[in-house]
Amino acid sequence: MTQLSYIGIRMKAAWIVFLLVFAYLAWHLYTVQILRHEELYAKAKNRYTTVRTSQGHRGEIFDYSGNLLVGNVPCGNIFVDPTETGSDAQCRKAAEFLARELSLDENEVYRNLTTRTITIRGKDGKTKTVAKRYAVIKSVIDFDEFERLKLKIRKAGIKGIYFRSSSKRSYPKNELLANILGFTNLDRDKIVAVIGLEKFYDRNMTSGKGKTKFERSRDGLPLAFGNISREEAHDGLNLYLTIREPLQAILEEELDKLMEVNKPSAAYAIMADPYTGDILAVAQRPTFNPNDRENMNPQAWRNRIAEDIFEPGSIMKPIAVAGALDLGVVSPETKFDCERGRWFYGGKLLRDSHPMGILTVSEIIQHSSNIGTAKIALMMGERNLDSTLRAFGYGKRTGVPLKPETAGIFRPLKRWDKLSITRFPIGQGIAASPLQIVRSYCMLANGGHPVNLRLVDRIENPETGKVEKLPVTRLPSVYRSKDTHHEIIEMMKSVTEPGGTATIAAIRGYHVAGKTGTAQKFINGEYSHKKFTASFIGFVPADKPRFVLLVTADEPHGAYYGGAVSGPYFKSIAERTLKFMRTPPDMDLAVYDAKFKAAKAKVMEEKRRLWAQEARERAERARRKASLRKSQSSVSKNRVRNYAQR
Amino acid sequence: MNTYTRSLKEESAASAVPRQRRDGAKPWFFAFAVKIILMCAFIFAAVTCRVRYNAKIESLNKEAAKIQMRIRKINLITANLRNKREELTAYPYISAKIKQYNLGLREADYRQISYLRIIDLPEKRAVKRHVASSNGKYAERHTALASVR
Repeated sequence: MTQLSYIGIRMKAAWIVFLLVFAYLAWHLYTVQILRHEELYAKAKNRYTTVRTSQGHRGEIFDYSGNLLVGNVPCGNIFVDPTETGSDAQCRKAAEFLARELSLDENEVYRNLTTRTITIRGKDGKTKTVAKRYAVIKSVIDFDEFERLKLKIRKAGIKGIYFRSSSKRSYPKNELLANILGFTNLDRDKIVAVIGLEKFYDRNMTSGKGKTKFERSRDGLPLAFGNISREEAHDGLNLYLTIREPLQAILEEELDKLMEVNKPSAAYAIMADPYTGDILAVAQRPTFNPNDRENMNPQAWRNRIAEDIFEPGSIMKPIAVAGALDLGVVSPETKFDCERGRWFYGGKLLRDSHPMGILTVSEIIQHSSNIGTAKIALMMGERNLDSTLRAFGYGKRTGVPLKPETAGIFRPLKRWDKLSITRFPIGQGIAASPLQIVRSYCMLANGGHPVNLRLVDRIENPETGKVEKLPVTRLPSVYRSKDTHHEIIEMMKSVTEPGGTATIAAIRGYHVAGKTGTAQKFINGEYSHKKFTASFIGFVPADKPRFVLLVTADEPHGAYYGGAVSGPYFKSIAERTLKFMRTPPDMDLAVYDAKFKAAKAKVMEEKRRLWAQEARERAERARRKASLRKSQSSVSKNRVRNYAQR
Repeated sequence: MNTYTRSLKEESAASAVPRQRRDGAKPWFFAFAVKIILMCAFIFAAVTCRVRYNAKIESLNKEAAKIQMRIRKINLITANLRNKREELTAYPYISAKIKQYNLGLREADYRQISYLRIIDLPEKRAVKRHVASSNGKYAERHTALASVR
């Protein structure tokens, strides 16, 4: 009985203990699963959840045919976790190895390997020392070099060294189109666009960051059955320019020759399609190589074609004359007295480069007479001249995607003075950017249709493949008369024909319509007699132009006339471009040669006639002078004789 | 109440009565054990399958990660090579090489360029023949010819 009662008590005690333990466990389970669930779940999740970020590729820039102009090239960064580098002796050895392989300062590397703590200031203003787990050894290493180093360092068994691949902006064509493309800088991990298209389209070309959150296994790989949340990285948009790389190369090569021969302080050339406004090639000097950051001169960054303005000089004449022809104020055969090169108007002297007599409107353009053009403008009147120049886009931005872009200097009509009407049509007192000049010549070439210059042809989304073409605007012609286009083209053709100011720009087999421009630079309130801007602008073939080309040299040394300085380079660029475009000659070469020879003979005959006339006039003047002297001496002799007789 | 409990209550006086088995009947333990073994085997098989399946998935996962790494690396190499190709095919580079090696290259003259227009392709000739022989029934003949081709 006694034994049985003991058993009963023990059983009861065991039951109580069991119940207590069970209750404790139940309570603990409740605490863990219910009360502290969120906290503990978050802690656990933190341990096995990894977030991996990725960065899409920045948009690339291509030429019209898809040749890469700006791309992304892989590179690598080597960094160290100083808490894992081991003893000082090991660090010294590692520093020696790394310094040798990476061409770095050994002490600097050693310092990076051994600086294991860092003092930081918290938000509360207190300073505290924390472990330093990241130091860059070398960044932006070329891909091939990076791969080689990776193998070598791993083989050497240096502890705490990590490798990370990234990408950098690359400009595979170096100086080619550098000013237009612009460049980017790196501010820590952020890409900052500095100038050019890189800056203008920065928002479109910037890539988006991606984030992948996943539950990982011990080796860091995502668990097959774990939760994965993905935010995909997206690539920036690609730009396809209107630029043709081969033409760009031709332009740059010829511009280099110009710089070498004439040694101007700057030079630029622009080639555009007159019908669509597409800029086919554009170059400027000085320029820079965006891959060579150490030798980059900030002065060379400036986009001269959009930012700089200059007085165009005689380049303006065809614009003003086109207006006069269109209004019916003059015809190509209307004659003007060019005052033998000196003409006073508004109390100021206007001169021609050489004396000229009575010339037709065509000859005024051919010989580039300032006086003749000023007289035509006077016949037009201020209002008509103003509306003509504005219709051709002067005073308005071209809208190319380059910032900043100047609108030029073209005073409103109410602020014109008495001289303005005689100076604006000859390109004085008005300033325009090279792009504005090219736009106005596109209009001359295409029959007076205003065009918007285009630099970007299409924008592509590399992920979806969707391509958005930027529209080509085609507006009605500004000409009222149908004949204006033909008449002005014929006049401009004569500029490159024998007797014109730019025979040197003539291209065998083609009719070239163009105009020279030699403008004195306006320095310190007066026109310089030593510093000039020498330009030539034209289009080929004249009657159905494939392109408009402007070549300008700023402050050339030696020769300074537009025809002499820029003309030859216009010719060589145009000749090579026509071959590239497979544009057949306008006429048979033999016919062209014969015509050219005949025109030259005619000009020589005319010159001989003028020289003979001049010689006759000189002889006549000398004879009159001699007879006057003779009569004067006889008068004085008579006086002496009379005096003696008295 | 089983035999053992009963014996405690009845103290030593109670003698354990051995269970009587009927002759020819299967032992109950055997049947129970078979059931348990079968159940365990089934669970074991299921768990083993699942573990092997998971292991396979994990190994494939690792393989995929490795392949992804390789793809990424190949992409990097491709991008690098593309960049190099662009550098090497750039006109300034080529013209510099022409100068460096003094190659007597010059641009083509217009007279060297000629256009050859092949207007009499065999297929076109066949079409022409059919058109000529069909008294103007061009469409019919043309579709017939297209189907033959």
